Amino acid sequence: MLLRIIQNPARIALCYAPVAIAGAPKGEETEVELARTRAVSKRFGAVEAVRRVSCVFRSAEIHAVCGENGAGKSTLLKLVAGMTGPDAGEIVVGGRPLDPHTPREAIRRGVAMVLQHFALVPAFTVLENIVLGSEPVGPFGVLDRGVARARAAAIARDLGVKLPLDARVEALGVGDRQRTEIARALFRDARLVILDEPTAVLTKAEALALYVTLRRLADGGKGIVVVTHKLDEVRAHADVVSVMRRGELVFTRPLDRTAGLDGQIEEVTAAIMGGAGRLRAAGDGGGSAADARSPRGAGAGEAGEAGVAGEDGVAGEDGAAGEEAAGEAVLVVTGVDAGGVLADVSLSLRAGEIVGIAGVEGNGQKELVELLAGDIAPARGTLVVGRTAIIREDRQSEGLVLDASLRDNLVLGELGRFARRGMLDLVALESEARKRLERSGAVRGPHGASASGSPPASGSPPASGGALDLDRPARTLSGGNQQKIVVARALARNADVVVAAQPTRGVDLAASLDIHADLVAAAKRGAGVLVISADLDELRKLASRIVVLARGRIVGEVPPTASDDALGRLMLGIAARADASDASAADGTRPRGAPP
Amino acid sequence: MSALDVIVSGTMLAQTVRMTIPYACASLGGVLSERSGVVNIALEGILLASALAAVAVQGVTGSAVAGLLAGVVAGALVGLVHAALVVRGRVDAIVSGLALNLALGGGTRFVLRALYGSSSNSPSVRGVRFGEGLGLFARTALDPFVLSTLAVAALCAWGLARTRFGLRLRACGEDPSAAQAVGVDVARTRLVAVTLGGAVCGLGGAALAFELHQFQAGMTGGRGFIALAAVIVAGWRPWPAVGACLAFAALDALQIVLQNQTRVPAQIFAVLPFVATLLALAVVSRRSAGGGAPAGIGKHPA
Amino acid sequence: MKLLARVLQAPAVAGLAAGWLAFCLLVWAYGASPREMAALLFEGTWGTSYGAGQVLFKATPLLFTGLAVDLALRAGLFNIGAEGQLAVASLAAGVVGSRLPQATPAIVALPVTIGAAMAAGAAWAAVPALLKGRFGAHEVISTIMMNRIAEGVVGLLVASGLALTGTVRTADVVPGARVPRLDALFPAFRGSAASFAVVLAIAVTALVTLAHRRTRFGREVGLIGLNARAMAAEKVPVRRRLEQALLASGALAGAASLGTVLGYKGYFEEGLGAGAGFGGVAVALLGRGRFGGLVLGALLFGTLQQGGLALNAYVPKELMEVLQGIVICAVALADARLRAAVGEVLTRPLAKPAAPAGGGTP
Repeated sequence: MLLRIIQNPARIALCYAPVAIAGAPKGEETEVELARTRAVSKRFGAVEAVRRVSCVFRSAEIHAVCGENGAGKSTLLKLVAGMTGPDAGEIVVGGRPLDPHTPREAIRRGVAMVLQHFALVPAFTVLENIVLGSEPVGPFGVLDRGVARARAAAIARDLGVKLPLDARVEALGVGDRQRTEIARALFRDARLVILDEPTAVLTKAEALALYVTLRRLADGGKGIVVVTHKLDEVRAHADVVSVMRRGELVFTRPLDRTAGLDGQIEEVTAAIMGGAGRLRAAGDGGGSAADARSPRGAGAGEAGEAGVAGEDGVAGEDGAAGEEAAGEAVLVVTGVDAGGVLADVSLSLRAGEIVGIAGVEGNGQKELVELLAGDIAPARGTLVVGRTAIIREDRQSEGLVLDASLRDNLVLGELGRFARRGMLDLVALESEARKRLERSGAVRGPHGASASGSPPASGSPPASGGALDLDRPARTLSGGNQQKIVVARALARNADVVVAAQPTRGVDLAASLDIHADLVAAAKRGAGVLVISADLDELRKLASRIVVLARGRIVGEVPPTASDDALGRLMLGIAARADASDASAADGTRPRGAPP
Repeated sequence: MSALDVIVSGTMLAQTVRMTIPYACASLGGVLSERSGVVNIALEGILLASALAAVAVQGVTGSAVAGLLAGVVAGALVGLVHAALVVRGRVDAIVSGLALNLALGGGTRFVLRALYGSSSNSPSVRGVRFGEGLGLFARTALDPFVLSTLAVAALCAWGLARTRFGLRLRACGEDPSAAQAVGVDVARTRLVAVTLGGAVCGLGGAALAFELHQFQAGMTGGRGFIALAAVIVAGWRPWPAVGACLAFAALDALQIVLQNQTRVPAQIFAVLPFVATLLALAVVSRRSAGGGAPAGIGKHPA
Repeated sequence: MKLLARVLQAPAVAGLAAGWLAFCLLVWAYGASPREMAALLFEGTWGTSYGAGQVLFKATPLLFTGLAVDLALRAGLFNIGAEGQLAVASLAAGVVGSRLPQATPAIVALPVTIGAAMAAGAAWAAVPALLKGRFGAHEVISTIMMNRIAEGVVGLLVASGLALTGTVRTADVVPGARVPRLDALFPAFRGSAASFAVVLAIAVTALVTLAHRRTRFGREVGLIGLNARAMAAEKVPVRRRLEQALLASGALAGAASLGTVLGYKGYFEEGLGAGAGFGGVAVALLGRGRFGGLVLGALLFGTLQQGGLALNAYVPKELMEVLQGIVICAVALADARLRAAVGEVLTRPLAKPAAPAGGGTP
């Protein structure tokens, strides 16, 4: 039996004063078991995604499930939500074993899951999406729109959010989509709401607002499960934390907020990484949001090894690269309007420099990438750019041909180089692909052989021969290794400008570190690197300056040491001229090109 | 009488309306099927199968109603087979549709020879006798096939927009994974939708056969495909689909008139509906990339 | 039992089993004896060297059109229009082949004639290619429409002077443009219509399947078929490649006239080679891009066509079309099951719906 930590909702209010909290601290409350798994296992082919996991989910608490990508946390919760069936073990929901294993049955028993990519129908309105699957109907299955609207509006009110019920979901931002998902879960009276990586695509402010909503729900007696690998969120919001590693549950324990959190979070980190080997790097990468406000680059001197160095070292290095070794300009954008979104964008990038682009998603990032990739032309203004290599945001649909071999993927779009009068030089192609595969690092690392059953120990030497042959379809690689293939291909082109859009989204920590090292190496080699990311920590770590994009305009440029607040305000476009100059006074923010 | 007189005559109009029915039913069937996410190029084969079933059953029973029902049931059955292959068997919908068209094209001729010993046409049947003594206008406007087609179109449009089944059907067509995640049984919804679509298309097949009072080998002459084009041109919406079918049927009627009235070689007019379809397709596809196509068409839930 | 189920999962076996079952059922339902009809079918096809020759004759255009449809399929395009492309190409072969000087040597006459046919096939495919590339019109519908239009246009051209007066056929092509019959070298095939076009068909199939792997065009087309978006992102000219693939497909479909106009009749007449285009779709679906698959598919459907004729006195030959449809379904079904099974092993832990964030958590 787990201990229940007495919660004080005011905690959040204290930390984040601007947010109002409804509901008073509770006194007595009976927390109930809503769902549990008993020695549940699930395998996909040769891989045991979940191995004999027994875990309990209760009402009135926020339960964080942590682990690296591929640790099995999403699979575990999909099992609880009936989205997939177990191979062994039992899932008990509402006191009885879940049967049949369908979302419908799970929903009937009060379990709803909000998927990472959302399960919303883009062409439907918010209201249609909310009711879909549990529609209030009159005779002959005719939709009762009145009832639907009234209930949805009431739920939005309870959540303390505004929902544009008649807007089409495809026109909404991620925040609204997520609120729609949560409203849908409540519409069907879910008592256990599971959220898979809910903050992966949210800004800090939105993420905060989400947790306020979640806390409100938990205080109202709902069970909340959050799958995440962001330890700062665990630290700030979770009541209970479970850690999964390689399909197994390492532990489930309450977070004791009366004791020092640092030690507890460190234990979580250690459990996630499964050993002390990378503990330090991991601690920095995953759990250091709290440290994010402190100046970076302190460790530059000590961790100077190329490639796999700890991230402090990396940050220090390119900080230096940005300031001292700034070469000639490789990208100059002047007053460009493009794609109907970008307006009066001016931007420059020098050889050897890493510049970050921050912003709420959908504020012109996509168009900026398209502009630099040459997919769209500037409607106004000028663009001077050297040879460009793009790492696209959506690697599965734009970066890779998943069903083609690694060989084809590693030289995708470059077949012209290997062709003489239309005939391919297969030998040259093969050796180039092999070279790139080796350089990609997809061969080594803990994920190289993940689909073939026995993952080699972390950091083991490259598996020789069969482990990752060039004939293997890209689909069979883990997300991290897929991204390594994409990065290796882009960097092998020795371009003057490397544009990396969300380079580590959905990629596990170890692979992220490798990819970051690759980007830094590219800059050292003399390329200008533009990193577009929703992950501010990533930008802080890599970039020597961060440019903020809001509503298609560049609204400011800050050093990587700028505070979350300053960045957040810029990103939300709140930074009117006066605000921005305030911010610059406080944080060294340089407002730039603010909308007139 | 000059060709122009014929074209603008009431007879021509009535003819057009009646010729619209097979097209319209097939395209409504196509709308139901494709809005649920299953491409249906089997419409051509469904028209053939249901036309033969209608004629054969009326031939045996002497009842037009029984014949009509047989046509509808045959259509529903083919729809069900198509849906089962695509939804349960995960066969590519175009492959399944092609195979069904092939099998039903040969199959109807096979049955024709088996039943009537002819490889070209069946003996004639009465079809539906209606409206003797009524004026041309009333006879056309009150024609049971015209009325039932209108009713089906209205039902489709209303049902898709306003009922639970319609909402779920559209959800399956737009995003099957999302629909499944919220507990919609995507496979079942699609099976029902495509089967229903087959039944509606079957109504058109029966109408076609009764209009000509017999079954002829290959009598559909590409109507199923044109109906499918109408679905696309109409942006997968029921009423516009009927409208597009009316236009194609008008061309068809025009073609017949012109063939009889002018000395221009018949082949020129025979290709008119197909050329028009091609042009319409080009214009619509250009105007709106995707053209309102259900986003989840051809996709299976994850 | 388990083993039987396993074996039935193999697409080829499933197709043959389903086809055989349907054959027995339909023949029986028609009131004939499946056993006798099967014997008759065998006798009329592979039982005699004449029958075998006829099968090869029927398989020849099917192999060309199958190869054509397969090429488009690699690019993710359904070229249902091989039928119309072949009709137009056959007319072109007949017209050009008959207008050459009578004494044109084969080394000139044959390439010119077949070149004209392939060009005509490509031209006919150019319309859907253009509609696809420039307007985004779905090629399935547009190629079907083009088939119907081809029917009309060929009829019109034949009626308006390209044919010998009072007939629906062109004049004979010059001797140099003809493909010699097989029986010229192998007397065993005497009387059958098989020509050396079958050898050409196999050679072309081998070359083209090799080219899919060894040429830049072939590979890019194949990769576009798997994920056009990624190829476009890599600045591969996707639209142009798709258009080229459809044109090449049309040209290959047109080459099927080697087996009909040039290898068989020696002239074009309306309706010659009808059905070979649709048959090619079936062959391509069976062949799935493999050399052996395409050849065997063409032989299978050639056998069915020839067998249908052999039975026609007892059972309607349309039976064979039904069988074709059923075989395609069975093969596609088994293929889908197989892929699902393989996919389960290979891809499930990583598969994710391709969504904006493209994450990779299992």
